[in-house]
Amino acid sequence: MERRHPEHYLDLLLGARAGRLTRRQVLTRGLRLGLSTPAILSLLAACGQQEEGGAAPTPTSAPAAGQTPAPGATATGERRLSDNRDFVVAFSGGVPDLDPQSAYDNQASALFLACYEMLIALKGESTFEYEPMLAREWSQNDNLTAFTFKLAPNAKFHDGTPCDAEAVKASFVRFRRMERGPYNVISRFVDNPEEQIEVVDATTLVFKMTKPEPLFLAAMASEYGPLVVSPAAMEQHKTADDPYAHEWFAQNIVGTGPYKAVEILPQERFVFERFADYHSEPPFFDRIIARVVVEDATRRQLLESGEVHGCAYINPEDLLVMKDNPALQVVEYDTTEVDWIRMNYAKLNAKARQGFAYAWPYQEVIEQVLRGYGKPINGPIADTVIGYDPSIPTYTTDLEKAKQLLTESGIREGDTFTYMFATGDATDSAMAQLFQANLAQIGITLELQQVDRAALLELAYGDSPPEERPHFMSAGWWPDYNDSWNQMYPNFHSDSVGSKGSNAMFYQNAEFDRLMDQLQVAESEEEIRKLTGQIVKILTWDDPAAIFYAQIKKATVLQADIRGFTPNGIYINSFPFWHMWREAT
Amino acid sequence: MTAEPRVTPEPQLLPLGLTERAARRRGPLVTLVDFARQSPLNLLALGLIALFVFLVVFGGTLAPHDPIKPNIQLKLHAPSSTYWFGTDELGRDVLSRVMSGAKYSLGVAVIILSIALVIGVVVGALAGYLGGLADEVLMRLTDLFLAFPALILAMAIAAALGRSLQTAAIALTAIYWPWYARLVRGQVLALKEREFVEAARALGASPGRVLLRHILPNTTAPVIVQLTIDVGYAVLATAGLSFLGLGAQPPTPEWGSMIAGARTVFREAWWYISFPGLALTLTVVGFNLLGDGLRDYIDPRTRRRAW
Repeated sequence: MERRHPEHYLDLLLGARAGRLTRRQVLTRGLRLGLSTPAILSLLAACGQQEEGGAAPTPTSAPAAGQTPAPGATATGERRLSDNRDFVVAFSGGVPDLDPQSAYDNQASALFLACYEMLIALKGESTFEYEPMLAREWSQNDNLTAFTFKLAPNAKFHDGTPCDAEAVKASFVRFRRMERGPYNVISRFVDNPEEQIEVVDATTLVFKMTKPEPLFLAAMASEYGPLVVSPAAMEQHKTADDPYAHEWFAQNIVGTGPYKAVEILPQERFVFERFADYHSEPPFFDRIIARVVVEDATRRQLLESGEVHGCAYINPEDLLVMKDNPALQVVEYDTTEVDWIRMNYAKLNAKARQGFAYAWPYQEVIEQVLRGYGKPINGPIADTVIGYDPSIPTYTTDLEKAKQLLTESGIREGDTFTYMFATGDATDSAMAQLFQANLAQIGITLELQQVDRAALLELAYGDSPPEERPHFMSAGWWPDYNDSWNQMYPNFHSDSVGSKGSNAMFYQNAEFDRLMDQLQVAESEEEIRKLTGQIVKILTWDDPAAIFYAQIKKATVLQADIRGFTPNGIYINSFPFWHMWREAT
Repeated sequence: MTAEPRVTPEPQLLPLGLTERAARRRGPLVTLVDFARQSPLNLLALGLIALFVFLVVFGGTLAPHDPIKPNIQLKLHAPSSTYWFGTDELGRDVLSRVMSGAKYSLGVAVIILSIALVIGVVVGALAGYLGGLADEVLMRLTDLFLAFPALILAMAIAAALGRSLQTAAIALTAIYWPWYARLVRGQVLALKEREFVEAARALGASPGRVLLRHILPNTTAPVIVQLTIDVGYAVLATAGLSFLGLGAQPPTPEWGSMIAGARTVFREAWWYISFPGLALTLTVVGFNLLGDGLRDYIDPRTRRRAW
């Protein structure tokens, strides 16, 4: 038995609570120190599920005042920092549009969090608490009609120009007026940005609402859209045909974020270096390198070999294997994401869409393809989103019903339909083939079309007419902020077709639009839930827009020595680069 | 008018290196046996090709399970007495898919080369025989196709036309025909000045007759050798395009697309990638050995006694 010094007990206690010690180490040391069985058990409980080798399957977090030290930190709070200051992240496809006020693309938004900034960001795992980003302080009046933001006084853009209140206002005017991609994030609250955004002084600006807006702060923390771009760069690169310099921003990055782009190869890699004039505390990593790795197998291999340090795009089969790898940590979290198959509104009538919804292999997909990383859902609203209505029934596979509805819709045996999904996505491919097999049983031919991800995005968010689009297109979505209106508006509202949102299959239902207008101004949770229920019923049963097959549970895989990563159900697949660091091993 | 006398070319220029009389006397079966006895590798080549041709014709019918219909409860089962080659990510029998896939992989390759051969022979024969402006125009057109890296050109064509096995076949036809055009043109240029062609021409044979009856039959030997070697490469190219998602689309059990599907799980399910890969390898090896064997068999200098 070891000599009993108080610091041994303290070290054991802190080590167990911080997750620095494995369960075996806690057990061994506890026994050596002569601790009682209940005491050791309580320490083991504090130790969590960590196994030999130091892999912590639960999210890590940065140490804060008053907390126990995070893994890799000493009892005094000092971190054991690694000398390796590169963080390599793998993406599953290229990023064709780098304009943060236009791109409605998850991988683009993950990149943007390295180099652009919102005014505020969601704090930790919360979807309604915030932390400073470009704004150091914020406040609102009692009736939620005026929101004041106090900016970092020394903020600069990567092009060296100051990021003052005028620049922020100019950026939001661009966001609102350009009317691309996620612009609903601002247009819901600000219709006239020149009037509604007031510059008080160089570091203060006020957003004035026309009615109480309880969701405005949540919207400002969205990683889609309200990111601040350099007005000087816009002025310099705008043209008569492109007054907002969208074409230029689609290929260049000038923000205020902690990292500055030094290499941009949209289909290959992005390299960011620490921005020397960043207004806040410098981040740990010197460089963020985002590599485009299309193949699932290659991403897994790169993670396992240590060449890639983080990836949010790992298929469920691989995740199950990687969870047993002590060199990696698999951080699982519930999300607001619902995955669906868009159905072409112009090519398929309501009965046909209902019929196809019955033909989807729901149970097989959730159990055998998603392997537990998804659960049944009754529409586009996840049960983690405000407005979710559990009373809406959920589709189950019924091929007889499907055939009956398809026949009533005018579809005959032998008719052929097209289904498009991204190349290299094993999960999508498996689901598509199961759907294809179900349809084959009722005499319908489904032609599968694999296209690369960039082409799929260009088609989905482009302006080609619905007649030139496939009958089905694989998709998934989560709200820009925790709100049912925001989840549905860009995807299904008639104002969001083509490049104005993500209504890629041109869904247009007047009753849906009318109820959405009511939902937009709903103030109580009860009213939101009631209206959301009515709307979801239209989208799933009366006039289906898509086959809603699963609410997704996500997992991000990191090297075991990465710390400070906290998943967020809204910032899905993204990384809080400014909080992350690497522990010395 | 007298009947056109038959002009006999030099013996080594006949198909399979046989004199016409000898070929007539021996018949194809005897020739095949003779070829097989030349070398054990020739026998191996014929055996492999026979196996895969058999699969092209009967593979789909004899497959023990449905190669298309998923049975996801059985996903990624290791080889067993029920599923000799195991199952894939959707629970389909890999053996059945490999057997059914022969007609897509090998069958399509044969169709590609047949079309390429017809186009190449017509273009090459016309260019070589007519010469002059026709030769210039046709050969520059051929050069246009040869100027691009073959697979890149095939990918571009397949991507432009849409992703399917048919468009992959069109793309590969486009990259193979110029080689046959070049080959046949060279042969025609060499043959058209030979005495037996001059003799036929002097006796009043029309240009078409000279080309079809006297020149083209004598280009057969090198073309057949090239063709047998190209079958292997065409199978690989078809599989390559399918692997890249530009050829066969799911659920077609084409070997290349099977390998593409298997690559995400190859560490957990070795059988899934191995068996279509093996089928592909054996097909290519079989045709390459046949090509090499034929070349040796045709050339009297390298022809050996039967073993």
